[in-house]
Amino acid sequence: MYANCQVDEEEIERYATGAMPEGAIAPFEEHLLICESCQRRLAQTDIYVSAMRQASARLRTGPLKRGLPWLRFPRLVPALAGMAVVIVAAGLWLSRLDMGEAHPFAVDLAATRGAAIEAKAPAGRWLLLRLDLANLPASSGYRVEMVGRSGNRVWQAMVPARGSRADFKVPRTQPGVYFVRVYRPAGELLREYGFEVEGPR
Amino acid sequence: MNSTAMEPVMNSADPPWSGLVEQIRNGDSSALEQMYRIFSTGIRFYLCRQLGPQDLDDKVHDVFLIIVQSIQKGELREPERLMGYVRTIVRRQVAAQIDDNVKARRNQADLDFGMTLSDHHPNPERSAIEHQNAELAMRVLNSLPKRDREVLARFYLEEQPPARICREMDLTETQFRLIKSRAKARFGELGKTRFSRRNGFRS
Repeated sequence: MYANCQVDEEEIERYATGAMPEGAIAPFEEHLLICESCQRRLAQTDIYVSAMRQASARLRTGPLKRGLPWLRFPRLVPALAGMAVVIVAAGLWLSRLDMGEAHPFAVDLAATRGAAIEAKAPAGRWLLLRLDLANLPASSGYRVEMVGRSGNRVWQAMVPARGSRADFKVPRTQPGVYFVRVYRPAGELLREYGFEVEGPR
Repeated sequence: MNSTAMEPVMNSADPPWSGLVEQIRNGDSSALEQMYRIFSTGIRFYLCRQLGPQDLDDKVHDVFLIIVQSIQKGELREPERLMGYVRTIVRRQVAAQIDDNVKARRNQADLDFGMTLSDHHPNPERSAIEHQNAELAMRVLNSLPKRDREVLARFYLEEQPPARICREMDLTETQFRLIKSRAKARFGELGKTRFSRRNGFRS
């Protein structure tokens, strides 16, 4: 449709990451409806952003994972210092694993669409949940509720909106499927996302 | 680094919406075909991005029917605003679908005492593709200097504003953009064949 579309990559990336200013979303989406070039570029940008988030998150938690095999093979430690090293290492390992509220595990729920639950998080960690609020009625904040698979509420709070996104931390949770429900402050349910907290393998 | 509000992208190639809307109101089947040609891919893309690929053909069909019927009832008062009207209807349908999903999930929770009524696991092929893409991104990140990796993690993972990243990491706006665009170009090179093969929203 548009032979000389002038939407630049930065604009597409802003939309893909939810950082586009509110007033620019409508004209962009209207253009998107009829511009196959932008649809293709946005699809590629979505893939790229999602992949970079996953890879960056893995790199950030990488040192923890690399440390574990060493801890599992205390035979490599000289015999006399073995017990002491194992005790110290185990203490360090536990303190790093129990990262607490200051180092939550980030879970991006923007990509959770349709019936499938694709977002995963480890059990026993604080979680930094990130919601995509694009297309919701504007509000400075929303009531967010987290429920278990059978609908039992496990957490709720008022969460401020940051542009078209909201980030918030939730305490350590047991393995299982959870749903995050976004309500207007007045009580109207607006959206629901699912994610799975995985137990140790 | 300021994000400027985007101007509506209109040019001489824009279809004459008023004429098209008038023809649809008069029941002209060629106008219906033309509108379907213009909007069906975009509607499909938007629905797929928001709701996933399930029952996509049916959803596109439903949206198209709603649009045509409301035009024929005269509910589109400003024909030149056809694109905005289509977008509004698509967004309403997305919201309605999400509402339906939530209600269905509530009903499922009411019924559910250990039995599974629907498959919550992701499509294995899609999971494999996502895993491969994350591996590609990992290769890109591992090939970069530590500082560039930090810039990308701050931007994509922590969603820090570009101005803050530039300030805290002593970067100019151009350097910041270059780091991002080089990484993206590298990712594109590595995944070129897959990108060209897979566009999930296509029918």
